[in-house]
Amino acid sequence: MTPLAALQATLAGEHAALYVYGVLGGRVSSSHQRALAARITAAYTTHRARRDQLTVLVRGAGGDPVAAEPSYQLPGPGRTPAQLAAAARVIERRCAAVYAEAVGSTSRADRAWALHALSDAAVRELSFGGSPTEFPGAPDL
Amino acid sequence: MPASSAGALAALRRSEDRLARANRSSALAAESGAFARALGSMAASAAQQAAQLAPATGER
Repeated sequence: MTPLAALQATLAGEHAALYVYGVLGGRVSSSHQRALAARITAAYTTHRARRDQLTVLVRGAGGDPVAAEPSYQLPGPGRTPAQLAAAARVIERRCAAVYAEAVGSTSRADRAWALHALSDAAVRELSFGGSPTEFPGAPDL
Repeated sequence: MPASSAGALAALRRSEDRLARANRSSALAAESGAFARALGSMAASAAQQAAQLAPATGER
């Protein structure tokens, strides 16, 4: 995968993450599930910033940033607090996988960016009830 | 080895933090993309372990 293709794939992943977190944010009760709502909001804010950073990185690499799809399929029903947290874990795992691919397909500043994002996603998955794994983002290893 | 469990957990957390930094640094310097991906994933794993230990050490 070329560095530009890796950045575009990562940007596409951020578009999906943002969409799903937006839906999750609309379904979580900020009064009854305050902690979960705060974590979802923080995740949304982080992924939005990543999307914006990636847009700049793609342009810097000479590409035309990939656009978001009109909608994305939710990973699971996402109704109860447990289901919302499960959906968030899936999103972070998927993001970690695209970040890991970006680590392997880029270099220097772009790789440093992807490394930071990979660790951040792996740790954020824990905040939604995930467990540590041997190879976050690279379960094939 | 620290005598108290809290001290041991804090030392373990610092060790995981160091491992995460070292793996990130190695990933950044790797010539091979596949190797960089593996090292980056190992760094993320160490970061998870450090985060998991944070509550036990009274840190965030």
